[in-house]
Amino acid sequence: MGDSLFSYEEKDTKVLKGAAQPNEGKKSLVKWGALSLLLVPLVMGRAAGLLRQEKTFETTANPHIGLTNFIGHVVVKGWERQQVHAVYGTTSPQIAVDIDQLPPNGSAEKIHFTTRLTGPQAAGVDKTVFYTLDVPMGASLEIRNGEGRVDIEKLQGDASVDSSGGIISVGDVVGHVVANSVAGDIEIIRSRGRVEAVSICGNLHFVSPTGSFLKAHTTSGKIVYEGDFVTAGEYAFKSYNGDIDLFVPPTASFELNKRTAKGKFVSEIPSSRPPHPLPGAHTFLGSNVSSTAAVQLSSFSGNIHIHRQP
Amino acid sequence: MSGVNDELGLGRAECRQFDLDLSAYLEGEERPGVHRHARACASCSVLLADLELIRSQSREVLLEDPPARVWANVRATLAAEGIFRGRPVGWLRWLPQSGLMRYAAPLSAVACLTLIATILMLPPAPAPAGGPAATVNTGLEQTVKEMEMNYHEQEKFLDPAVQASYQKGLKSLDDSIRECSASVSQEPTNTLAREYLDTAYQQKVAVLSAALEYDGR
Repeated sequence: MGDSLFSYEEKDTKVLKGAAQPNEGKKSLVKWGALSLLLVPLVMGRAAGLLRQEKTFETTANPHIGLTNFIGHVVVKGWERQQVHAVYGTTSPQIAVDIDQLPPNGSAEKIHFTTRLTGPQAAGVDKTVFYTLDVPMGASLEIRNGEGRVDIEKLQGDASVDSSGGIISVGDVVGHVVANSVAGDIEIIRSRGRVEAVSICGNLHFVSPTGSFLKAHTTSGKIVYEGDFVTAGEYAFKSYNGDIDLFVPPTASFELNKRTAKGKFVSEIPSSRPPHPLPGAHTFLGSNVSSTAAVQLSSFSGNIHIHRQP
Repeated sequence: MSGVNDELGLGRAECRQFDLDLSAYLEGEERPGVHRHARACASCSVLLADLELIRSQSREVLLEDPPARVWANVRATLAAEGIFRGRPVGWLRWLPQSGLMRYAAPLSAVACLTLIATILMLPPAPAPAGGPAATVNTGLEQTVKEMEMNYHEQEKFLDPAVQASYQKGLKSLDDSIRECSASVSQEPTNTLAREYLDTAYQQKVAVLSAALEYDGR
């Protein structure tokens, strides 16, 4: 197995670089491999009859971008330019994308992308539309995607996403994040503003948020939180039968209000004060008694576990 | 120069009169000055043309009844916010909903408060299993049923993947409603179960609303 791989590499090196050194051959192979990976979606899109379009709009520094889609992967990234660069692809001529811009001329303050059916007959039509948008960093987003993954990265404005089933992933957003899904997982990484995430049966995952308000609610999904709590921050985690796992640093200190009917509660962060005798009363966890972060944990039958990060 | 200023001043006065007469003219009153001024003033002419276009277009807009799901959603939202009250059920239907009986409510409230205060002084007695303690806001419950019927009529038109997501979410909510109802029935003082039950119903309304408003069918 190892021999065959080596001989393949040698052969490839010869083809690409002639008499190049083995290390250079490896680099070339990596480069060509990466290039091939980039070309794969294009080739597959071509094979699948993807109707790809590309448009660029001049905008203000803080435009409002709306997107309403049935099914498909949506990617939105913030960039330095005051432009929206949109690449989108449909697989069926019975699906069209309408773009409304306000004001109609000059720098747009609002742009809305709407996927629509061109005819009345929807049955059997592949409604998939893929979107990739580069938007100004200061843009605010409002996305409704029926099914399919939504990825949002590097924004200073607000982001609101609604989906029935796709994964919602939001990274490095400074503004208010609102993510709602029926069955999809929600992942929010390094958010810096207010966060509200609700999924009925999807899992919720938060990594290193630094905003002062976070609300997470799921019925049957799990909630995982990784990071510290900011001073004066308010955190509310609520699940019905999914487990809640918080991974906090050993230095974390917060006021805890936990409620559970049938679930177990375990905390690896010791309480610095004796527990209050009344049920449902707040407990102070950690050693920094000046911290005023308030954490509410509520579960009906899921287990709650506060882990201490190594 | 003064002649130009005079003309501008006269123009502004006529424009002001045009503005004053415009709404009456658009409502059908005789205002001959409106057209006369519009012929002489370019900006007022554009304004008049735009408004007349809007007026003529609005006549052509069809007055259609919105689909049943819109009413269901409005009703659900009002019920969830506690603004809407369901139709009187049971013996309440026999009571007149107007006239002097309207004043029975505040008097009854005072009487009830006295009664509740007395009851609270007594030790609690266990409630029968499956009794009224298990029920939530009847208006909300009824609304959920209606919305569910609408949803079942529409779901076959949803994309299979979208339909699967909604079914998964609704099943999860139904499971929690069933379990919480049982808990509340067995233990009427279980406020956590009651809170989860209310939340599950509200979420079900939200999920059904989203499913009924989904355009990709």
